[in-house]
Amino acid sequence: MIRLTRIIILLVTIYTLSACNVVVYNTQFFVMNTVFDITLYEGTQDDLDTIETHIKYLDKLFDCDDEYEGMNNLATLNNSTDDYIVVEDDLYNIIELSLYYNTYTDGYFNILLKEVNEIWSTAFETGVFPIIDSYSYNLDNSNILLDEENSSILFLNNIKADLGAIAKGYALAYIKDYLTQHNIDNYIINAGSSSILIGSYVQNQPYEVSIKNPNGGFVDTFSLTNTALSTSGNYLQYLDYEGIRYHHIINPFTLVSENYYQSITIINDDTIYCDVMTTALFNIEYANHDKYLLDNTTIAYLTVDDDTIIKEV
Amino acid sequence: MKKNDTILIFVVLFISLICFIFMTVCTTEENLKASVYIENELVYEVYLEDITETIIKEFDCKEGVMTIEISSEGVVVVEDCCTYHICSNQGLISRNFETIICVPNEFYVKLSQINSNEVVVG
Repeated sequence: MIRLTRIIILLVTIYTLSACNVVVYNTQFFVMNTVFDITLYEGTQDDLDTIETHIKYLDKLFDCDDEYEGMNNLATLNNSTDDYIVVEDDLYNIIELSLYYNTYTDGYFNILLKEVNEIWSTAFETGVFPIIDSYSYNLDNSNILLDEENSSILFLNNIKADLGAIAKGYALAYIKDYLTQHNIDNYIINAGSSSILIGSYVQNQPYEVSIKNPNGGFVDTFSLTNTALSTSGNYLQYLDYEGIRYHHIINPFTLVSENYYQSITIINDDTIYCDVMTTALFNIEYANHDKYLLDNTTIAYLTVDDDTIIKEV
Repeated sequence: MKKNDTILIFVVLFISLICFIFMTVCTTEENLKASVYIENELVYEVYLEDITETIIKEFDCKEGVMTIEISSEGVVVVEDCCTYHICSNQGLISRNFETIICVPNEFYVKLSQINSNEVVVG
């Protein structure tokens, strides 16, 4: 009888092992004008739920149009009239980071383009080329005042902010911190295909990441672990007018888009840097990029002439 | 080792081999799967390898009807009902990790392959 029991246990064990597949925790949800698709090969369902809850909270906090009860969010700041508003730490931090990157990029990253972006969005919808009076918009970041002691922010002179070019990077930074703290190494987070946070694949294998060329094929393929990647391109939201492509990445100095590249992809372990710099560098000529590049950064350019340039720092 | 032990080992190995073959043949997780979500709910799923003829699927969404074409080659939006047509501009998706996103309709298509470390972005 004992022998029979042992045999049964052994058979069950072997069957279980032979049928063994990696446990995958996956969820996807619409936030920040895209989809966050989170896959964990480790951890628990609770980890997934905690992350999802916090990202949805950040989504409301960074909403530039709609206010929510019991929360001072970005829309509250946009609608405020010369009053300091006490805000949550995450909103304070992201605005502070935005000001840092505005300085770091010599003004090429600017969160005050909200109204200009809306005009261009209308143009993409209607196909009618817009008339933009550059004097009508106040894009000077010195109109944003921070009071660290009281965790409050003042928007002066009716400025309007949009955090769309940094919010996903900020959210991914939160996820990265959470996963690191919980010793979760095997994961991949896709924030709308344009911003990716990469741990490692099952059993710490690398991911083979290919960057799509909108004209067919791939810009390049990289073997990656424990890093982040962000892509900006001119091929999804645009208006072709009199032979020129106008797209959604607006130069804060000219209020129109530039046509140096079809796409820029940055690979670096700082998710915020990746998100911000793909936007900022899109409006800067290639020859002037070096001063903005951090160590351990790889950049894949697809030029307007369909040439690929890979730069490693 | 007794004769019966040897027999037992071979029996166990044989059974595990059968189990392994069964799992490998029967599971479709090695194949590329197209999943369609509307407002965060999974509404349609199909393995591309199982498709013999092109499938046209229409989905009722917030802003109207989204129409996609699914073949063994991949998925493409053939008719959208949104403002900026970003989902249509995305063209055919055919590789693991590729997605089509329509924000106004909260319409999301993704290709996934469980046992693959391939990622296609951009």
